[in-house]
Amino acid sequence: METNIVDLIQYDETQPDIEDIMRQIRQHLAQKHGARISVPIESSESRLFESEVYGELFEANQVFDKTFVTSHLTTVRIPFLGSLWQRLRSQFHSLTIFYVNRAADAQMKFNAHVVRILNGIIQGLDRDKTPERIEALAHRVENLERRLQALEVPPGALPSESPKGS
Amino acid sequence: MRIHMMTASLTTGDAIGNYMVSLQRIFAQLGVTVRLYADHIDPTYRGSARPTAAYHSTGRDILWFHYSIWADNFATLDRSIDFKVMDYHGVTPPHLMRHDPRLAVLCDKAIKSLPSYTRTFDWCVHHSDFARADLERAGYINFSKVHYPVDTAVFGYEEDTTLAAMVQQLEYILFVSRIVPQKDALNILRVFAEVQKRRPRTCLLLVGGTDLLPAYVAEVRDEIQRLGIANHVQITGKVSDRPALTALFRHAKFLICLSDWESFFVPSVEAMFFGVPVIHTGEPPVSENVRDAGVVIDKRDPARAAEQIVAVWNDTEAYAGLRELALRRSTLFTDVALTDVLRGVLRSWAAHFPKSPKD
Repeated sequence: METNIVDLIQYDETQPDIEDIMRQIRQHLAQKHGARISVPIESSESRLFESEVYGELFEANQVFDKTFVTSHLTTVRIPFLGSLWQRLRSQFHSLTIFYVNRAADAQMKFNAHVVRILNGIIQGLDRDKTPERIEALAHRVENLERRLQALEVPPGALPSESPKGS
Repeated sequence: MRIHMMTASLTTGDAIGNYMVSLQRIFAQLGVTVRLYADHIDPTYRGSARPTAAYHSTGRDILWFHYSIWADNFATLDRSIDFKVMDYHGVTPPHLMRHDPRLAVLCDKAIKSLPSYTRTFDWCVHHSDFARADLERAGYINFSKVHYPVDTAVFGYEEDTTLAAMVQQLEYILFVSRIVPQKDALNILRVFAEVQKRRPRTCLLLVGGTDLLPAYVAEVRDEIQRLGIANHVQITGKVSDRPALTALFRHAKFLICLSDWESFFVPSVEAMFFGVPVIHTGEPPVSENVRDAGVVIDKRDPARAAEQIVAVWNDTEAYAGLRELALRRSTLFTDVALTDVLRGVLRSWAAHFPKSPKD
C-alpha cells in the first residue's frame, strides 16, 4: 500500500506543468512568427499591468505589419468606352496603390520599432525588481524601528539614579 | 501555352495562395509555365507573383481565375480572349461576414454575379461536390473536380524541433484557421470545456490569424474566461511556418472544425496527412473530405459531443483505426494524385476544345 502511494507521488512529480508549457509555446511562436522579438506574456510575476495590456500588446504584435491596401475598383458596364475607361482607372488605381503601399511599407517599419520598444518596456518593467526591493527595504526598516523601540527605554521608565554625593 | 493564374489576394498561409503555388509547381513538372497574378500581393510573394495589371491575354493561353470574392480583377474577365477557367472555391455567405460590412458586400456581389459569368468561363474547376452544386444551380456545364493537395514538397518532413518538444508533452485538440465567426470558435470552446471536464489534462490550441475581426477574438477570449479554461487554451496567432505547423499537426490528438460554412477546409486534409482524425459536424464539404476518418458531433449539445470524443479517445483500438483511415484517405490529396488529375483535366480541355488552347 505504502509503495503504491510513493509510486503515485513520483508519477505526479513527472506530470508536466500545462500552464508553463502553454506559455512556452506562445512565447516560442510569438518569437518565431510574430514580431521577431519576444512578446511579453502575462505571468504570475506580472503585477504592474492588467491582463488586457498583455492581450492588446499581443494583438499589436500580430497586426503591426498588416497595413498594405488593395484597390477597390467597381465595374463599369458601358459598351466599348466603358472598357477603355476601366483600363485607365485600373492603371490609376495600380499607380496609386504602388505609392500607398510604399508609404505603408515605411509605416510598417516604424510600427515595428514602436512595437519592439513597447515589448521592451513591458518586459523591462516585468523584470524590474524595484517593487520587491522597496517592499523588502520597508520590511527591514520596520524591523529595525521595532528593535530600536525595544532598545530605547522611555525616560520615565528608567530607575531614578540618586545624585552623586547626596 | 501559358497559364495565367489570378486571384484577388495572394498571401501566406492562405489556402488559395498555397494551392496556387502547388499548381504552379505541378504544372511545371508537366512542362506548362504558370504565372501568378493578384490585386494584392503579400511581400513574401513579390518575387514570384505579378500585379493583375501585368496580365495581357493572347488568345493562346489559359486564364485560370480563382473565384472566391468579388475583386477588381473581375474586370480582366471582360477583356480577356484567352481560354478561361474558373477555379471555384465557394463564396462565404454574407451573413457570416456581418462583422466586416465591406467584405460582406464583396461576397454578396460575388454570389450574385456567379450566374452572369456562365458564358465567360469555358470550364470550371471545383474541389467538392458541394461546390459543384452551386455551379450547376448557376448554369455552368463543364466541370473538373480537383482536390486541394497537401504540399508534400515542403510540408510534413521537417518539423520545428523546439516546438515539437513542447507540444509532445501535451494531449491537445487542434484548430487551424482564422478566428472569425464563420469558424464558430465559441462552440469549439464549449465542446472543449466539456472534454476537459472528462479529461482534465487536455488542451486546445487555436492556431490562426486574430487580426481580421478583433471584436470577435475578444468575444472568444471572454468565453475562455467564462468557461474557466484559460489555462488549457492557447490562441497562438497566425502560423504559416511549415515546420511549426508540421509539429502542431503531427502531435495533435484530433483536429476540430465546427464551422458554419466552409468552401473546403484544407486543414482537414493536412490533419489526415499526419494521421490525425477530424472532429466535425458532418456537414459538407468537410464530411466529404474526411468521410469515416473522423468523429461526427452535434455542436449544439457540447456534453454529448464531449462524450463521443472521449469515448474514441479512451478506446485505443478505435482511435488507432481512425488514424489508419485518415492516413489512407490522405493519399487522395497528394501531389501525385493532383498531377494525375491535372493531366486528365488538360486532356479534357484538349478533347472538348480541339483548337484551343494550344501552343
